[in-house]
Amino acid sequence: MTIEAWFLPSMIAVLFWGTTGVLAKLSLRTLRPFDLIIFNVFFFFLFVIAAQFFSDGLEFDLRGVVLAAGIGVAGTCGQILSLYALRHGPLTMVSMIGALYPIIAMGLSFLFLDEAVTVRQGAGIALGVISILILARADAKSA
Amino acid sequence: MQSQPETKKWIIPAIGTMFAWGFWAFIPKLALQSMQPISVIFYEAVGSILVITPVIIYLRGKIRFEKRGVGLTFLSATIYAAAALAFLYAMKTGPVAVIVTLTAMYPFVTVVTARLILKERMNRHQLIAVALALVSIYLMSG
Repeated sequence: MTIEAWFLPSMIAVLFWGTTGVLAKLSLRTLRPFDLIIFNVFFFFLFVIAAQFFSDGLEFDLRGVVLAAGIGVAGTCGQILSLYALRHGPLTMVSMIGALYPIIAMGLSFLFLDEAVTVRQGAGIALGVISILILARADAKSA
Repeated sequence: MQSQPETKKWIIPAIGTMFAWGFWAFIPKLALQSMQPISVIFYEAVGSILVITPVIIYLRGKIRFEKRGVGLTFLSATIYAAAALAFLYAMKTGPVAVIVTLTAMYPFVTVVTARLILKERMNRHQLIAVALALVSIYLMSG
């Protein structure tokens, strides 16, 4: 079995994002959720500025810039909406609905891109979504 | 049972969250068609600043500064940014459906790490979910 080139960076993202979950839990012992988002965005911005010193120079393509800024807008709006929903709604339902975001991304990729997924990967995706839903429900219940 | 107006208070933002994160996960594929991950992540951060600025104004600058919490957030944001960069490198070459599902499994690492560091107990459902996730990762890897 050959491991695809995208698999390693994906697993790094999983491990790193997973670690930030624990750190966020610890931060929330003293910070309010909105404070956490604000400081997160601020430090994230500092990191990417520092990262530019290791690049060959910042590229500029208007379409790419608008789309890339859209990633930040969508991600941060999602965080704020999630906080708002959690403040007014049941944790289980809010967590489970939020955890379904891969389905939206998949829907968009089927609409706008012509990407092939093997049967085996399709089975993995289905199982992955089920496991995410089970975890979201279990986490919300134990919270 | 919650009344309809009460349900409306959270169901719309909850569905909004799902769509916002769905777009957040999908748009990188399009942005990466014309730029490298290191540039995309810069403009992504600019986008986040655009959203957070009105929030700071709304809060009238009343942000709680607590040394330990802010220090942990610095560490968390640095790791988050490195993960976001890794995600973009994966998205540059891989299929959206697989990578987004795979990376959406990061809460499993949180559960396991919380078990190891914070000594939080894992319940039966969490254990089943972790087992399913491992099989799913194996299936998606090839």
